[in-house]
Amino acid sequence: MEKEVVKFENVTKIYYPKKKNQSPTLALDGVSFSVQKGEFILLVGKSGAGKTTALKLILGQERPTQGKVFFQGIEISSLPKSKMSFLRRKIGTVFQDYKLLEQKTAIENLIFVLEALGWEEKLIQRDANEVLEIVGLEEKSHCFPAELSAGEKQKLAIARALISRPELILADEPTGNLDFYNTLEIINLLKKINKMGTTIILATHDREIVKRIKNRKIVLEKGKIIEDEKNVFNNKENPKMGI
Amino acid sequence: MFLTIKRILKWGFKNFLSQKESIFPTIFILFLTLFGIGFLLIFKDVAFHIIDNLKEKADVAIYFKEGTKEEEILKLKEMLSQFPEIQKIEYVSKEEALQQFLERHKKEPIYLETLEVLGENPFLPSLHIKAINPFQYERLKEFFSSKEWQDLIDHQTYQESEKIINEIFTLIDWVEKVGIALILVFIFVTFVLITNTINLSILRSKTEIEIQKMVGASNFFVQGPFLIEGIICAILASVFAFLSLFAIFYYFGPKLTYFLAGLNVYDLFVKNSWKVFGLQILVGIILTTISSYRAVKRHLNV
Repeated sequence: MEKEVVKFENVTKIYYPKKKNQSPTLALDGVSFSVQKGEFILLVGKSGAGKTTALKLILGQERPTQGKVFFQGIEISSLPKSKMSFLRRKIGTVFQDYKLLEQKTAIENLIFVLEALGWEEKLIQRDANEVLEIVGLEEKSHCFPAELSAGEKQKLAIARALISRPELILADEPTGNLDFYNTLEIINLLKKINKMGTTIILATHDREIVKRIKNRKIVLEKGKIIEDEKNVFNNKENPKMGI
Repeated sequence: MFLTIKRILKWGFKNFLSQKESIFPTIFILFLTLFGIGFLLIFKDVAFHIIDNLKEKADVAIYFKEGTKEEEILKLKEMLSQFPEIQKIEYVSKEEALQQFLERHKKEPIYLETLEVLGENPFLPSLHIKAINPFQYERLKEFFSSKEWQDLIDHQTYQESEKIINEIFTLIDWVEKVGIALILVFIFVTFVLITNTINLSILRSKTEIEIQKMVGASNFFVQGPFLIEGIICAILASVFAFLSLFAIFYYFGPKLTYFLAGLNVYDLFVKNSWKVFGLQILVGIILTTISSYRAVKRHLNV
């Protein structure tokens, strides 16, 4: 039986500007969808379509103007800020710009996360090495980010998202800075992680990814869902996607 | 929990060491604040010691005119002994005054020679009155100002002690006001500098903080190292302030004993060292914690 990991219930998000002479921005407009445990979904749309806002709402970085966002049945916007950290421990995040610590080696970047989460030293060492092996960076564990290629940096960022054993990984344009070959590698890595049981939401505007992943795609345009179908694209390009 | 605290301490020290040069002005101003607090504490004790000493010594001496009869003086003594504010009253005759003088200056022949030149006893009979409180001499002043006694009295010396005590109280008041004003200025500057230092530290650790927040580290864990950084500044400034006071009092204490009514400030400082150091470290930690917390809260609101 499928279990709901994320649920958007008629969510609207409006950003109100700080200056009075600017008009508000409608980022999401009455969006509803749900993501089941173990799914790998693509959140597709042009820049400004509302993809990143949707991810920020799941992370609790933003609160909806209207509607509700749930994570594992808990309404995120009802959580006090002090409890938000518990929610985030179940979610791994991957960014386009990697957000790696340049003065730390690959393994230290992973250790940093586990130390921050209060893990014990022996578990930290074991898991850090294990995750580096999963992403194929075991040989580079003592390299600094500056010594890694763009693809390897993103693999390390994925390893960092994976290391706290999250229920869900949110990847925001993870291939935005990568060439075709590295894009494929990252997608394959995310698929591998998904097969291990982790739910993945990948936000992208990359046509290659959309073509190659035959999973559910939620297409956003101007803050609205214009398409949400499972396994309908196969290898055909969908004109509704607007990308 | 122990592991979390250990890591907060470790990262707090790392933050501190990573900006040890820029943190110097902060520690210096905090040092001045805590030095001032410690100094005021000791100064107050010294001043009160001097006042107590003066109170102990303070008395009124009424000198009677040449030829005043002893019976009249003793009658006056009897009357005065009824005053509730008088603790002790002593009659010193002309001869006793001379004896006391000779005894006091027996090793100083110049005084004795002067007396010989005079050829007579120049001392006057007197009453030495000690009040319970040095500020209770007002009534005595009024009493002796009546015509009846003015004819007998040559001069009085009670005003001097009162004047000195009043001057010391004025000095304490002035030093306290100036000291507190200076400390308040230093506290304000400390707040600004600590906030600035922590802001710089937070900016330097921007990506670390972003990652910590993203992976779900607790607010306590994210904020903790910055608070520790402030506390390290407080501890260092307190230690420097305490050691500076120690060195100053160690050097000047014995030299000032004569001027401070026999009090060695170094001994007083050693006796109160825990109180001084405790207060310095407490004030230092409170100041840095409040200012660090404000800076951290503003930047790290999750």
